[in-house]
Amino acid sequence: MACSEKSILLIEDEQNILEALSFILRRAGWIVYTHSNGNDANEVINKLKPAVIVLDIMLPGKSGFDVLRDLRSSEVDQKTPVMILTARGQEKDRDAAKILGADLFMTKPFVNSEVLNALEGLFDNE
Amino acid sequence: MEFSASLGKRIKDKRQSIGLKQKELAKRVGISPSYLNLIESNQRRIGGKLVLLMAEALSVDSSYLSRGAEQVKISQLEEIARLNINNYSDITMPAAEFASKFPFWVDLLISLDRKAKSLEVLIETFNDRVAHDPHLAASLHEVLTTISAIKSASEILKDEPNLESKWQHKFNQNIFEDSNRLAEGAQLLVNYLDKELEEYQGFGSPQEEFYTFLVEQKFYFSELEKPQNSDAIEKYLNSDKLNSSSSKLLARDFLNVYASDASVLDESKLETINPDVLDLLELANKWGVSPEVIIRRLAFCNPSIFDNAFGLVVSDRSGSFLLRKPISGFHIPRFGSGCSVWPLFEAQYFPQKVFELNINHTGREGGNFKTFSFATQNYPKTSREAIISKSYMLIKKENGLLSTDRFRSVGSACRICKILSCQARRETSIYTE
Repeated sequence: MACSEKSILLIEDEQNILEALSFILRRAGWIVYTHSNGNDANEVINKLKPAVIVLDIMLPGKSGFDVLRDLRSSEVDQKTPVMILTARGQEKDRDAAKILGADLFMTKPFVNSEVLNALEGLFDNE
Repeated sequence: MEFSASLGKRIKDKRQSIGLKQKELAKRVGISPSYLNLIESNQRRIGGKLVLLMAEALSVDSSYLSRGAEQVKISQLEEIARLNINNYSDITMPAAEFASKFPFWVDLLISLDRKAKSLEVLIETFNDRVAHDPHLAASLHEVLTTISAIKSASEILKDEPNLESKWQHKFNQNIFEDSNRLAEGAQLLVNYLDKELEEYQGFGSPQEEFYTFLVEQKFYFSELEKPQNSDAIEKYLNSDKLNSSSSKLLARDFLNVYASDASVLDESKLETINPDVLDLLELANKWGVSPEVIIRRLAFCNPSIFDNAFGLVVSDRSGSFLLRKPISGFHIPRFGSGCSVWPLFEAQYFPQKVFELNINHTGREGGNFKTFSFATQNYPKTSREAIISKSYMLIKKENGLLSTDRFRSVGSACRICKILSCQARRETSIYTE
């Protein structure tokens, strides 16, 4: 499913976070797509086929967990690497993310360089 | 025994000397008049806390009631030991001897116990809120998200000193906007957390507004006790505590039921009930009403009739609380569900049967309570509809000394419960951490 170009889809409803992350990722050579709603997130993923996905949990409409669940159940061969980036940092959220198939779990507030390094790592391992 | 005998007589003598009725003094210290009678006639011993309450209510120094201030301290030490030590044989020195030999350490111990109790209140309250309050969770999420946006933008500005001016302007603008949002959000959060337990503003859900309305009215609606007072409900609904249409709807439903109950079971009948000897089924048969009517009337009536002796929890089949009237010593969580060994939930499996059970609540104040649980069940008209069930648990404080074997131990919620071996535990307790 995932493509070879260095593309990333940010699924996050906080616009200013999207702007900051988009900025640093584009500077690092990423092709950046953004989406702010959970309801049609899976359709957007199918259409864009990003190499990596950054996914918030608390989204308007469908939650990030549901988006992840639907993504994993639709994937046949290759899994798209997914990093959960959320303000919900409790143990149960980490466990849920792991069970649903997230590759990384990072909490807000985050350090820009740590997010960048983590995403580079996901792309390199894909 | 000599000490206790003097104490009961001193209380009675002082009370009578200031012209205070037994009923009034009992109300001031939070016990029943019958129990006060037992104390004054030296048939019941009382501990340090109740002695202090008596002293305050009688406007005397506590040492006046006891044989010197050290007697109060001895009582307090014994109370601390009772609540915190499992095996009394571990105590090698009587409290009186310890108090006489180490007065400084006794004062320190009593002071620390007092602080621990107030911290337990704080933990209990905050844990309840943080764990289960959806509004608080959403507010914290908003604050963290805004902080994240500010942090990310400010990092960019710091790491890229030669950033193009349009981006500098953009991220500075974002930081400015998010800072304002953060300030507002933080202020609302502080206001929310600072509020008294019984009163919320700004983040009030309809259920909280409704609850605040009930508390403001002290769960008693005198105008609805009068027959055919159709305007009364509308007047009550104009309360400034009911801001949303949803909370008004909850209040209207409640008041309609209240008025209906009052019309079939008026206050004159309630005044004939002895709260210390309650048989709900007998009363229900006597007056031709269902037991839940008796339960509601006992909980929601003129406070002077039963000295506010009753608390109440009502839940639906999912365990969600529909209504709660607090009672001292029996903490009822505001959010989430309560302790699963409450008889409230067992009653749901045996609808239309009254469960009477003595319980010992292990909360910070705790104590012994008598509970009366009863569940109603409405059967559906078609197979597609659900069976609607509602269960009631009436709670009455029991001040008499009874053997602990006759009580079921319960808590308020797993997270803050001291019964670590409970088979029904669903999450770890803070007492194990």
